[in-house]
Amino acid sequence: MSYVELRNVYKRYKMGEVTITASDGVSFSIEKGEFAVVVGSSGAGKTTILNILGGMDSCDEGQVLVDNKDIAKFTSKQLTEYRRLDIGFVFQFYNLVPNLTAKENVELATEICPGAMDAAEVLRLVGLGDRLDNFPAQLSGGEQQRVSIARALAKRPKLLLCDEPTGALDYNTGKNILKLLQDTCRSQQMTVALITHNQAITPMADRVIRMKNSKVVDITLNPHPTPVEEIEW
Amino acid sequence: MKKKTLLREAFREIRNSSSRFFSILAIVAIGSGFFSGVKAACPDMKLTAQQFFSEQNLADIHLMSTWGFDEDDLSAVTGTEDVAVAEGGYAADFLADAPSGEEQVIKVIGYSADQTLNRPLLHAGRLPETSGECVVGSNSLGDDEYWQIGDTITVRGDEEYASDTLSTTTFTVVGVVQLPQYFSFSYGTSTISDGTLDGFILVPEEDFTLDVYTDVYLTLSSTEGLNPFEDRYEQQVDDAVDRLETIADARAETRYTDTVDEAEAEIADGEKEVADGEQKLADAEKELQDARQELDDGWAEYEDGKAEAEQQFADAEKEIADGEAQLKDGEAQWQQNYADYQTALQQLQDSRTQLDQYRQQAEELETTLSESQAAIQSGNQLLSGLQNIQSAYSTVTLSDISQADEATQAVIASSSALDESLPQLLTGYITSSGSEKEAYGQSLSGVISNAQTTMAENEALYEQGTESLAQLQAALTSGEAEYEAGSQQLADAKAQLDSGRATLDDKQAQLNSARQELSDARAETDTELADALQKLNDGETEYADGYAEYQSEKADAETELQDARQEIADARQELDDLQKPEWYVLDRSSFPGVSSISDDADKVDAIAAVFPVFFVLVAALVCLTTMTRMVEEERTQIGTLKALGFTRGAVMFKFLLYAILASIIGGVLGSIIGLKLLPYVIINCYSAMYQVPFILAPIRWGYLIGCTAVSVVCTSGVTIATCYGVMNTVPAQLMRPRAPKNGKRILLERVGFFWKRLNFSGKVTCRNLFRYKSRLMMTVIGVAGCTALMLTGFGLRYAISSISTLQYGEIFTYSGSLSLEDNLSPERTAEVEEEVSGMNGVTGIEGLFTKSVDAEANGTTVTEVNLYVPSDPSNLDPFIKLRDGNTEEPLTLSDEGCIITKKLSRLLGVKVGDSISLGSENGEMVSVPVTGITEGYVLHYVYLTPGTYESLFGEEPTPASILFTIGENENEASVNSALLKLSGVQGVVDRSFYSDAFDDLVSSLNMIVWVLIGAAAALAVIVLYNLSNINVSERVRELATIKVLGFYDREVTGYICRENTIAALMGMVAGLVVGIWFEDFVVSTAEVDVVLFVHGLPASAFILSALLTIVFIMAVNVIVHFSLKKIDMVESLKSVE
Repeated sequence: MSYVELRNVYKRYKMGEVTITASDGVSFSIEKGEFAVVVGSSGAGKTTILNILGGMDSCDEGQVLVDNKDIAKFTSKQLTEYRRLDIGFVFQFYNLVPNLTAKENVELATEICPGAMDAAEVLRLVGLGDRLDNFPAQLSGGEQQRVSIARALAKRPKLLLCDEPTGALDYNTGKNILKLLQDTCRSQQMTVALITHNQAITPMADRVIRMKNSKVVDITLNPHPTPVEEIEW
Repeated sequence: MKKKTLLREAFREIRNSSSRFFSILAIVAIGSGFFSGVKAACPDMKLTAQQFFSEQNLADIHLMSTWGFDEDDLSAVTGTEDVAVAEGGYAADFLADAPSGEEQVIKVIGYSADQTLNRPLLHAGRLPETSGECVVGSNSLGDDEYWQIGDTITVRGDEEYASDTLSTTTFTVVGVVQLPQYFSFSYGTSTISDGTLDGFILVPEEDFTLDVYTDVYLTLSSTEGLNPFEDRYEQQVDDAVDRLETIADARAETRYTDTVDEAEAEIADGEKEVADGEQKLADAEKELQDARQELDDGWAEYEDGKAEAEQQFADAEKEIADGEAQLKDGEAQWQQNYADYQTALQQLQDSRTQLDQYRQQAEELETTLSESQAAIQSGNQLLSGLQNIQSAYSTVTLSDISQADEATQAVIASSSALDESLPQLLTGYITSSGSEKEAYGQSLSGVISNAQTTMAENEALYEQGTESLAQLQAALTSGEAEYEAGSQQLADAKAQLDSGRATLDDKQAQLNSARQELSDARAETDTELADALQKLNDGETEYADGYAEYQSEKADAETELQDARQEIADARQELDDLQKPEWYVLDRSSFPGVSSISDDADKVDAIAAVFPVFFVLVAALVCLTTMTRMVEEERTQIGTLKALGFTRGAVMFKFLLYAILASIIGGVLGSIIGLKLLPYVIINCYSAMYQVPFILAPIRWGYLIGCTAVSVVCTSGVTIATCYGVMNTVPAQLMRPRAPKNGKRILLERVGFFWKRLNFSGKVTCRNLFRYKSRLMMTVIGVAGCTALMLTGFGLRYAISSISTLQYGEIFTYSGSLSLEDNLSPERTAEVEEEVSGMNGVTGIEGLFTKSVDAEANGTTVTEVNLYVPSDPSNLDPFIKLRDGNTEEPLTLSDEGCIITKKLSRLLGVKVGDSISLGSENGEMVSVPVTGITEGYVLHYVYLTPGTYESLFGEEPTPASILFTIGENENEASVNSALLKLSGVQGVVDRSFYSDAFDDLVSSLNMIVWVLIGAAAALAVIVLYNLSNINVSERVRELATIKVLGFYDREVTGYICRENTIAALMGMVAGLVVGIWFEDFVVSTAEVDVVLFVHGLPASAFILSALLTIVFIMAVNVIVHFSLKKIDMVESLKSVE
């Protein structure tokens, strides 16, 4: 059994009289410690899948098994707990609390999660050891995303979900962030699921799940992922 | 054209952000509604009262008189200038037991269907129509405690005069009414029982048996249509009162003179009557004496008559006796004669008899002679026959006799007369033959020979007899003659006798009639005498009766006369004591509740003047934040529009339209609701005190337009101000999303030891708190306003309720005061004082001279200042405490000056050592130094010693009332009613009467406090909710993020609400501080001139305000919690494109 497994997941939205199917029988699995990339064009249903996987949204049909637990059956309270303890999120727009310093933003997560890493240490790990007391507004985009990653990692999540983490960053910074994610995955045996519309970065993944029109069209296993530094786009 | 698109867009915006639109609308509505509502409450209250008074035609002036009013009084009043209608009425106070068993003092008021003034307003049932029916006044008591329709009320006098006043004392309740002159549930004072009037009933006027009206009510022509709460009305009434007082004096004088004259005439009549009575008594006695005399005369006459009659009878008796004797003698004589006559008669008769005997003898002899002649003849014949037969048959024999011839036969038959043996011998001779015949012939010849011899003898005898006869007949003839002569003699004697007899009989008859006459006369006289005796006896009885009657009547008459004399003396005394009638000319302020409603309305108005300021402030703040937020959200669009070339005004137009529309709708709606609702609520609060029959709350367009205009100006001002900043930014910058507000360190972080001690969420909260300063300010101001409002409400309540406790509990410590009748002499006053202090239950008394004066100092005049002059200033302490308001140190009243109450000192601006002028009646002002300022909350008082008073005013202060204290366990009501019965006492007022009135005021103020608290709650909730909502919507991303991070719902709520709560608590603290000033301000504003409010707040006011604020904060937190739960993480996070 895979660490993460989606079986026939359906998600429909009702927009007035029109029903939009955001996930149309999605099934895939991710092994523990894998770096998976979900790729597809805008509106292919990637974010929906990620939201369901992250316990932020529920599916209408199907099973979502994470570490042998079907989170599709969770109550909202269980889902909150699941997010709190098992999931790390990295967003495209970082979603840092502007009124908190970098360290405090990380602490926001570690406060509520037992067994979390020390905030300062995680920040040092993502290379921000000297920016602990800076507010988000005082940090660059890349640095903010690092804080965001640090906040996600600090909880030692079972699953790190990244939604277009480089979307708002320039090429180099994006690359650095991806490197940080890949390294973290490798060094900490973290299972990572990353969403992107950028086909170019698929080689760095252990597993590539391609989506189109709310369906999984292809799953490719990459036995020898390319280090990020070597990828150009 | 462009406007059209913009307009469409603006309306779409309103539709899309309806909650925001409505929040502006709501805050404007609440602000203007509260303002206009509270503001309108006072005029509405007055309008309601005014309408009620005019509908029921409440009298402007009420006249009462110690003597009542007669028709002349009434017409004098009616004829007074400006009097429109004057009506006399009857009213009297009685006692009755309410169904609850409680004794009630009720005023029984005469009602007539055609009275035009003070018409009752019927609440239920119908008005009284016939005697014995009544309607009760509406009341605040429960159904079981007060009379209901169908119940029976039996009234009784405090003493015993119920039947003097009313023709019936039992009434059946047929309806419930309200009288305009009793606008308050407190009915004022009474002169009976405990001195407090508890209610009234209306009965048909005919049930009153009084000669004079007890009350006169009148309306003025000049006040028609005037607002009774305006000065003009008061002016007119004051003028009329002055005129009526003049009339009153004149009428009083006339009535007094008339009455004195009348009474004197009556006394004269009485005296005459007494004299008549005495005369009558004397007459009666005289009559009795006459009757005695008459009776005695009668007795004498009777005795005389009786004696005379006796004498007469004796004489007659004697005469009769004499007659009788004479008669007896006559009778005896006559008897003698008669006897002689009888003897003679007998003799005559004897001779007769003899004569007759002789005649008979002669006749017998004649007969015997004739018979012997015949027997001799027949014997001779027979003898011849026998010889024939003897011869014939001597040879013949016949076988049977029957064969013999007839002659033979006849001889045989008759032969027996000669001898019996002959027939047989003859038969034998004839029939026999031979020998026999010879024998028979022999015998026969013997018999014939014998018969022949006898025959010869008889013939000799016969011859003898004839001779004697002749002799006899001669003697007879002479005897007959003799008899005839004797017979004649006797007849004469008989005639003589008969006449003597007749004479005697006459005499007897005469005597008999005389006797009869006498007996009749005697009988008659006896009857007459008996009658006379009877009459006399009757007379005697009558006299005895008459005498007895006279005796008893005399006693009665004496008593009666004595009484009459006493009465006359009393009447004379009364007349001497008679005081001139006094009229009381009272305006509407004498009607319970009628004047205070105006004061109470003004109090509401004073409150209304200050409170809504908060609402305007808060409304402006809410608009500010809301509009800021809106402009913030719309900045991209603003940028776009600007980039498209729209002018600043056109861009701003949308926001202005948005704000103005919300303000207008909110202002109009709020004002209408406020104008309709709040006066209703506030006036209803007063229905604990007042009998509010209906509530008039018209829409006051001035308020509505004013409020709406202010709202519009406020919101549009705020909008313009908000937009202004944004407008100045270049479009390019506007079109970029605004950089989130940067976090920065706050001052607190510099306070290391504090910051370090804060936990993470504490730090976050602190930093967030100061991130949005305008929001923080708003929360603080809003909550502070809320808390301050409540604090003010509680404070106001305390300020007023403490008045009662302090003034009537600590300062005025007497139990009650009794007012003495006017013009009592000092000696009489002393007597009454003596009696009062000797009364059971009364523990102390203090005479008090009171007077209402004007006080002046520093150019300010205060009217209606009570000048109190205690008889014994050193003994004033148990009754009235004079003490310094702050230090509570007792003050002593001395001859050096006066002590005045604090409020008066404040109004006059004087302090100890200054002088004030007091106005005496003639208008002169006298100056007196102030030696002390005493605590006092209600009305103004100036205390003077009797000595000071006398030296100032030149007259001796004779107590007009007596303050008294009673023992702790005494029943106030019974002591009061006992005191009321004392002569010289006009009325008793219990101290609780005043404090009760105040307590009623406090209870209605309680309701005002609740209104304030309600308003404060609305304010707090609106502000907090609005801010929380803005907070949430502004930070929805942040909240979604922490939700994604796995914060539980309550942690999320805590994240937001901790800030809100802390801000609100800061506001609360600020409110408690600001509230102190605010309360002071409101209390000072609401304070009327005659009252000193108790300033200062009790701890409970702070605690209650704080607690209630916390409750409101918690309530908002709960609301926020649920709105946070609804935040959709996915939607919130993806919104930024």
